[in-house]
Amino acid sequence: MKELYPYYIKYKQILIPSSFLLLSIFLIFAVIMPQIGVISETNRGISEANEKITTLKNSLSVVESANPTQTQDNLQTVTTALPTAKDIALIFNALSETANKSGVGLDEFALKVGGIYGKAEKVDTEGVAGVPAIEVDVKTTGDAQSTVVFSQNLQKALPLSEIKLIDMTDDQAKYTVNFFYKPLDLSVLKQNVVTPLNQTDVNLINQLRGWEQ
Amino acid sequence: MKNDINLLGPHDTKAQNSKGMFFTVSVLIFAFFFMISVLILLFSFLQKSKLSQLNNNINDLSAKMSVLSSEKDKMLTVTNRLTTIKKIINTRKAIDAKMQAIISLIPDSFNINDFSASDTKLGVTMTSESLADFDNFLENTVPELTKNKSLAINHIDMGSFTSDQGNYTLTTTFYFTPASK
Repeated sequence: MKELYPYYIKYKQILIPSSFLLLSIFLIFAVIMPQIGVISETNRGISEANEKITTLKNSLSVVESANPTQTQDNLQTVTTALPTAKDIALIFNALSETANKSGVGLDEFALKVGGIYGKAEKVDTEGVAGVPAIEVDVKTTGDAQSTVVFSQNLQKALPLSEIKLIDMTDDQAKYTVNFFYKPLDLSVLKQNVVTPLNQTDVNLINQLRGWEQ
Repeated sequence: MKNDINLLGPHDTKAQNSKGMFFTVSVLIFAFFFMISVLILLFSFLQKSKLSQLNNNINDLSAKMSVLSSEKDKMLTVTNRLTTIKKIINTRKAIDAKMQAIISLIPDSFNINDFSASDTKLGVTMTSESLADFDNFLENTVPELTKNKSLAINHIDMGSFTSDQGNYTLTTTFYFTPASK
């Protein structure tokens, strides 16, 4: 230590100012710069939280103001139009009611149900817009005009379907029809953004109700 | 004794002044950054407490929402299914409409023996006793059908025309331009 003392005496007047400068540099790198990053991140968090609060308040107001009976009716209509599973009873009802309405005889129908539980390796039949569908072969008896009417009425029946093929010979018609279904998507229920139905949605529900009868 | 004798030369005074100046500047710089650090820490603390308050608000609102979760789930399901239903209705192939448009234009004097329809073609076999009906069909009905843009008829193929015991049979296939998805 004794050897350093002369140096201390010689440089002591610049030692204290240098320490202040070093402390300043320390403050810049150890406090100011990291805190700027922290503040920017906190600001981002505040802005996200504000957005979330606005969304939650809006959703809460939509849910609170909704009529539970109306919501239940809407749910009933949309699940009849697009069932959550391969509902054979609904398909049979749609086919027999449409046949009655169209003046054709429903001779037989056959469907390949496929998997009814668990993750399928492959979707049975992929219909429009990637929505799964169950393929049904239908046979009816009737003239050409009533066959056309049957196919038109089937397009306006629930569950929703798409006619892929019609083959008519001597008053015997064969149809290949895809009936759509859509399993419940639990990820949708995790959302907190609830928006009220717009006029287009209300019109669509009314149209589906008309088809339901 | 001489009082005016100064042992420090002018050079030493200058050095002393510059050291003093260096000290002052360094203290000022440190004070400046110290103040900035204090202010920035204070601001950061205030922002964090604001964020924590907002997160508490979110938790309160989420708790209120979870009470109404059954209603919320129903509404989300309705909205989600309606989106899919719109897609299905807008994109499913309307072969019934094409079939109706073509078959409704075939005169009643024809007997439709058989037909097959898909989204790309419609084949019809029809019979009539009158040759004039076929003339009328080929000269008036077919051109009318080709003018109907919604049918998107690509081409029409007259498969066969046969005569059997006074009955004439025509097999025709209408080909449609496939709708782009």
